[in-house]
Amino acid sequence: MTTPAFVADPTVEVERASKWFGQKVAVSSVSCSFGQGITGLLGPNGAGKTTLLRLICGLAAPSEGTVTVLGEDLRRNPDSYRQLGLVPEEDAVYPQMTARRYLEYGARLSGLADGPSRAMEALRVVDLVESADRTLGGFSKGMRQRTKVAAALVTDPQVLILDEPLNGTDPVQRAHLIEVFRRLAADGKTVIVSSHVLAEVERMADRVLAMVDGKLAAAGDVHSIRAAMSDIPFRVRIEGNDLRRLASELVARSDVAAVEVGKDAVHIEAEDLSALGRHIAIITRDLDIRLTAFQPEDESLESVFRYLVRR
Amino acid sequence: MRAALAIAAVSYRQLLEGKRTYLLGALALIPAVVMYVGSSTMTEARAFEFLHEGPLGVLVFAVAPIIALVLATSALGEERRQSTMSFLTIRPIPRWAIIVAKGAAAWAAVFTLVGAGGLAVGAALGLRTGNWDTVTPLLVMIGINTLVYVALFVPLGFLFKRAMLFGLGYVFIWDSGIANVPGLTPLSVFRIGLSAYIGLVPESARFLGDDLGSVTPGAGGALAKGLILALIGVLAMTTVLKRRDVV
Repeated sequence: MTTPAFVADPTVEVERASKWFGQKVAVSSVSCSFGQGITGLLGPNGAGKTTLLRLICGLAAPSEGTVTVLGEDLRRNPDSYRQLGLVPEEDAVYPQMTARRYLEYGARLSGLADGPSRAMEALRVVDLVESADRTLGGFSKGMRQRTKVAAALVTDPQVLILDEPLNGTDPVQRAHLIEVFRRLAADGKTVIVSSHVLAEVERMADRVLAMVDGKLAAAGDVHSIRAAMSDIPFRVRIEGNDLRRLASELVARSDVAAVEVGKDAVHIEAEDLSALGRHIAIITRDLDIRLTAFQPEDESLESVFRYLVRR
Repeated sequence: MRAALAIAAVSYRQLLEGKRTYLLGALALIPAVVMYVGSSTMTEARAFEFLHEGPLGVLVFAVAPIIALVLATSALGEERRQSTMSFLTIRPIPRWAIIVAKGAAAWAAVFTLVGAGGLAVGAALGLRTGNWDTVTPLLVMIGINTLVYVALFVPLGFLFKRAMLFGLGYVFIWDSGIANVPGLTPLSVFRIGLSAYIGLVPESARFLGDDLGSVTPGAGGALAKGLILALIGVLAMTTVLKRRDVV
């Protein structure tokens, strides 16, 4: 049986993992798993996302608990690194190296015999072939990000860890990289993407894990996370004719928490969204009100996330 | 093995690229210039004496440790500063192999510069007097001393941001200062290489014997000490890399 924090066929498993630095607890008893597809790791700065990713990559040792990738503890079995690609948050590039040499170096370190051809293929994927022989020190932030993505792809790993991979990229590059990540997920790779930019995660992740203060605050797809937050009323925007009459009918109902009449729309807060929909259907039929829009306002990742952080 | 060689080759190039190398190269050649210019009117015996009173001392007490400090602390320290440690450590390479590769690159880079300086000092004596017998012992001494300095300074560069400062303190306060106290002389690095040199050039003991203190001259013993210290350095750093967080 799986719960939202766990998947059926995990490639990455985190079990009661904690990490503290002196008095500061960065990750607190987190248990979750990751499988094929894209999982977004969300959280404000300082939530513990990067630390959790470092634990997964074996760059940091858990103070408590265990982390395994494809069943192996990477820190004990470095050979398993063949199946892992990492795009770190930092600018982990050698400024004097060309993009081509950087990728070839990575391929050689991973024991690949066909490094040069793989390097060029990875540069082609991130659209950097024309800059292959320029030194990384002269690259823009966005180009360095794409080079790091290419370096992670060069070994064709089963598990890809991407820590804020879209930082510094322009909208066109961003769309291109998101497409690349989606393709990898479709090919059966496990892609874990951390970001604090909600719109990016919403565009690419099938599943979201939200971290707040080092703990896992929620897991699942955005709508199910929102639905599970039963203590926070849903907010809906309704447009149509005769909205004042609709509002006065709704305000009398006990399950409607708030009604706010605006110029072009009425905003309703209710605890049960489906019950609200049924009531509105009856009211509009009885009063002959025609609705042109019925739009949940807080089912976006941003609002869900705002609730989680505020909790 | 191929991965470790790749790390060593790339690191060696990285350590020796840039303007810094020209400055360190010039520093390494100072003792040779002093030797060549200073011995211009000397007899062979006086020039031999001059070598051990001046240029060799500068090479051993200042040039070798300073160059070793600058380059060896950069070997892993730069990876940490540039945040590229993760690029190396998320590979299917044992941590000890990364350390050995980095250490070997650092030693090769240091030896390239200091060895060139030592070769030039020996050549200066040879050109002036026709005595070329000090060239090989000088290179052996430099090889051993730089090996031990690298074994100390590579970990220092990884562990401390102010590694240069600590290293200078070690070289000039401990190695050339406190370790002169009788009984502590075996604990200084420069004496390990110096003992090899005196073992290979016994007549130099007249000039360098006091500096050696209670350390027994001999190239074999010095080499063994150097290798043991290098091994301890590798083991210690491997343990650090395995147990501590890499980034």
